Amino acid sequence: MKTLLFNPFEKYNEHKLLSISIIITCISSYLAPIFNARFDGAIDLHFYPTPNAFQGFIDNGIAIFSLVIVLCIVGKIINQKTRVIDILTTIFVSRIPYYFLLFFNSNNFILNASKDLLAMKDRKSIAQINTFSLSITLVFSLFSIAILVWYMALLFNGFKVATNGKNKKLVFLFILGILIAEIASKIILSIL
Amino acid sequence: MKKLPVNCPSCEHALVVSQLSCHQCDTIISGSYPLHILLQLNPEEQEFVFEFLMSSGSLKSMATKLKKSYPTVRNKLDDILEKMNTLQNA
Repeated sequence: MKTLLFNPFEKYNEHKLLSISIIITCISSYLAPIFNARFDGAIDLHFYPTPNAFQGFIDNGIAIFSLVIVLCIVGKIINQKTRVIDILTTIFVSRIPYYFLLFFNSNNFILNASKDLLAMKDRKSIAQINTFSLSITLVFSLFSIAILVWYMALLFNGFKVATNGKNKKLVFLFILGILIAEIASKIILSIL
Repeated sequence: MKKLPVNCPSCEHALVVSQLSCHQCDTIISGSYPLHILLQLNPEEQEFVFEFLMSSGSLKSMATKLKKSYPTVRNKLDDILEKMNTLQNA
């Protein structure tokens, strides 16, 4: 079970993993605008109204494209034998936990709670603070941090299997790659 | 099954074969014969090389047989090759 949740790349066939994860990505990209969610960056998810029904596909496409390009280059630096399909599988599979977060915003649940929380800054008395919105936002924050850790654990384990990297060099280049992919995806999104 | 020790338990240096015997006539040959690189691998690595040969060098069929992914099997082979290169150059 631990392998399936944190390192499926070690055991399961890459074609099966890639096929399943592409289907889940497509479904999530379709659902994202319905839940007013945007995957606006390589490691981002924000809840706000989306401009059109295809935004989920555009956002996910840019995020995945940035990660694939950067991690393929970094992977080749670590090990010349690194295959593109293994990097692709790693990225598609590792993003699956992120898609669970979409469902938190059913009926704009999180969006309204965070709007309510932002409105609190103008209130003078502590009695005016909406504890329900505060609690919801807090629980969601903790859950999203856990999901982010899961996402990063999957991404790192998959990258490690794909590159056969070891030691500090792998960790350093992986972190550098994620940061570059995040910046690149933000730049592409701002241009489009 | 008995495991062939490949390193000295005292100083960890590579062991050599110093005696061979015939169970039929009790002839004993003494000398100093270095172990082949393949024999210097640990039992798990030797088993992997054996499976690799039995799969005609196909990592894909080996991955299916071992119920591991292709990159995991390829990484294991790369690690063994690296170790063999180190042993060869030692």
